[in-house]
Amino acid sequence: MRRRRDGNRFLRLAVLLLAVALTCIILLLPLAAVFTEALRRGIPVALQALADPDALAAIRLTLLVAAIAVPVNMVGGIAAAWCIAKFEFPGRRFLLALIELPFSVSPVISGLVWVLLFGAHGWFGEWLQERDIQIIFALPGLVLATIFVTFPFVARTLVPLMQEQGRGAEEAAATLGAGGWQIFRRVTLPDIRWALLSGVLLCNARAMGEFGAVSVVSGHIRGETNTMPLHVEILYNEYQFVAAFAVAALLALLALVTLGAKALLERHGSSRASLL
Amino acid sequence: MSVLVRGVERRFGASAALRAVDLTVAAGEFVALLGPSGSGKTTLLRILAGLDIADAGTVSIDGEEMTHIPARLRRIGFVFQHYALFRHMTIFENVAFGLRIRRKPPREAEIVQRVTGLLERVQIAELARRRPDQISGGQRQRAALARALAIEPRLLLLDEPFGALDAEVRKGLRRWLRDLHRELGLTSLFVTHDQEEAMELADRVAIMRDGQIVQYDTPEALMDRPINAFVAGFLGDAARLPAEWDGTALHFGGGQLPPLPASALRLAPTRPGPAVAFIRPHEWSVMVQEETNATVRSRHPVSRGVRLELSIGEHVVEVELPATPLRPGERCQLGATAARAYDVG
Repeated sequence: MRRRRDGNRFLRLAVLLLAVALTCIILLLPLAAVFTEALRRGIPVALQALADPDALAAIRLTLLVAAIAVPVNMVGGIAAAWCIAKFEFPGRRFLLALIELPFSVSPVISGLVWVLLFGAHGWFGEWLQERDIQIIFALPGLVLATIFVTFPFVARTLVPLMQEQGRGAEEAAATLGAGGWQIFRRVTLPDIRWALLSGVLLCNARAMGEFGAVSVVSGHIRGETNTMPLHVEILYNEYQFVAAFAVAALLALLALVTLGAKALLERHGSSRASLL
Repeated sequence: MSVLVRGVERRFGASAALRAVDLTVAAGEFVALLGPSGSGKTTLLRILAGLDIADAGTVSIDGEEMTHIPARLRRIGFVFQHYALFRHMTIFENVAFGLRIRRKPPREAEIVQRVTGLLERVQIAELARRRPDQISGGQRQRAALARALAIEPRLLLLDEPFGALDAEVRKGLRRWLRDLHRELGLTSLFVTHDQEEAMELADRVAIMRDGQIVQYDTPEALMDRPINAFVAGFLGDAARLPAEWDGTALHFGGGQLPPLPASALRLAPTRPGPAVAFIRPHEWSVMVQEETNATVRSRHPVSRGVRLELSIGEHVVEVELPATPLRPGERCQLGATAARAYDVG
C-alpha cells in the first residue's frame, strides 16, 4: 500500500517535471532566444535598429492598424454576442458558427478574400480604380484583414457569459423605466466589463501580431505598408539578424504587456467576483 | 388601479400560450394566477408588464389602453422569479435605479430618503451596502420588491414570488407580503403553481389551464364549487374516482364503495350517466367492523391527526382522521360522506 503511494508520488513528480520542461522548451526558450539575439550586441545597437525610419514606420503602422481594428471589433463583437446570447432567432446557431470562421480558416485565405474583392483584378477592382481608391496594398486592406482575423476574440469571450446572465436584469431595468441605451450602459455593460476587457486585450495582441493575412494584402512596401511582423521577416531575409530580433523583441514585449494586463484584470475581476 | 384584459391571444410557434383570455382586476385587489406549469400564467403576467406582446386582444389599466405602450412607460412594478437584481450594484443602488434613470432624477437627498424608507419598509435597511450575491434568497426577494416599489407603480406583478425559497422562509414571507399588500392597497397580481399559496394570499384566484382561465373566483367559492373536474382535481388533494350517476344516487365504479345519495353531494352531475367524483381526505368515514372493503397501505401523523393511505379495489385514496388504531395491512370499511361529481365527456 505504502509502496503504491510512493509510486504514485513518483509518477506525479515525473508528470509535473515533464510539464515544466515542455513549457520551458516550447514557450519560454523561444522567448528567451528572441531577447538574447536582440541584445547580442548590446542595448544601444538594438535601440538603433528600432530607431531606423523603416522600423519606426512599421511600429507606427502596427499601432495604427490595431487602433482601428480593435475598437471596430469591440463594437462588432458586443453587438454579435448580444444578438446571439439574448435572442432566439432562426439562424442563430449558424451565426455562432460563422463567428468562429476566422479561427478555423487559414490566415492566407483571410487575406486573399480581400484581394479577390478589392484587388486590381478583383470583383470591385475596376470600380475602385476608376475612383482612385486604394484598398489592397494600403492601410484599408491591412485594417480589413486584421479585423477579419481578430473578429472572434471579443464575441467568443462574451457569448458564454451573456448567455449565462440571461435577460432578466435587462427586463427588470425596462420595467423600471430604462430605455435601450440606459439599459445597455447601466446594466448590460457593467455586467460584462471584465470579460470585455479581457477579450479586447486578446484581440489587440493578435491584431498587432498578425502575419499571414496582413502579408497577403500588404505588398511589403517598406516604410509604407509594412507592419512590425512583416518588417521582422524582411530584415531576417536580409540577414540583419540583430535588427530583426530587436523588432521581434519589441513585438514580444507588447504581447507580454498585453497578457500581463489581462492577468491583472482577471485577478481584479475574480477578486471582485468573490467579494460579490 | 383596475386592470382589464380582453380576448388576449399569444402563440409561440405552433403552440398557443394564451387563448382568448379575459380578466378583470378591481382596484386594490390581490389576484393570483394559479395553474400547472405551461398553463400560460407567466405569459399573461409578462403581457401585462409589456415584456411580451399579445398577438390579439387588449390590455387596459384604469381605462387606459396599454396594448402598445412599451414596458418602460407603463409604470408597472415587476418582481421576477429569480429576482433579476443588478449584480454589480449594491442593494441601495438596485432600489435607487428606477429613480436615477428618470429624465429628471430627484435630488440625491431625496433619493437617499426614499430608498432608505423603502428598505426599511421591506425590513432590509441594514443590507443597503451589500451586493445581491451577499444576501439570502428571502432578502433578495425583499430587495427586488423594494426596487419594484421605488417607481411608485400603478400595478404590482410578481412571478412565482416564493418559488425559489425554502418552505420556512416562504411561509413567513407570504404572511409579510399579505400584510404589506393590505397596508399599501396596491393592485397586485402574482403567479403561482402552489394552490395553498394562492388560497392564502389572494382575494381572487384565476385558475389557468392550457392558456385559458378556467375559473376566476374567491378562494372560498373555488373550494366550495369547483367549476369542472380539472379545477376540482387541481385544488386540494382530492381522490378522483370513476362513478355512475342515476339521478338520485352516485354509484362508485367497482362497487366496493357504498353509493352516495344526492343529498350528500356538494355538486351533482347535470345528467345521468358516467361521472367522475372528487372526495377530499376529510370527507370519508372509516369503520372497523366485520364487513370490510379497504386495506390500510400506510399511515403517517399530520398536524390534524392521522393520514391513512387506503387501497379499495384498484384505487388508492388518502383519508384524514383525528385518530385511529388502524395499522398498515389491516382491513376496514370505507365510505364517502361527501363528494363533488362532474359529468364525463
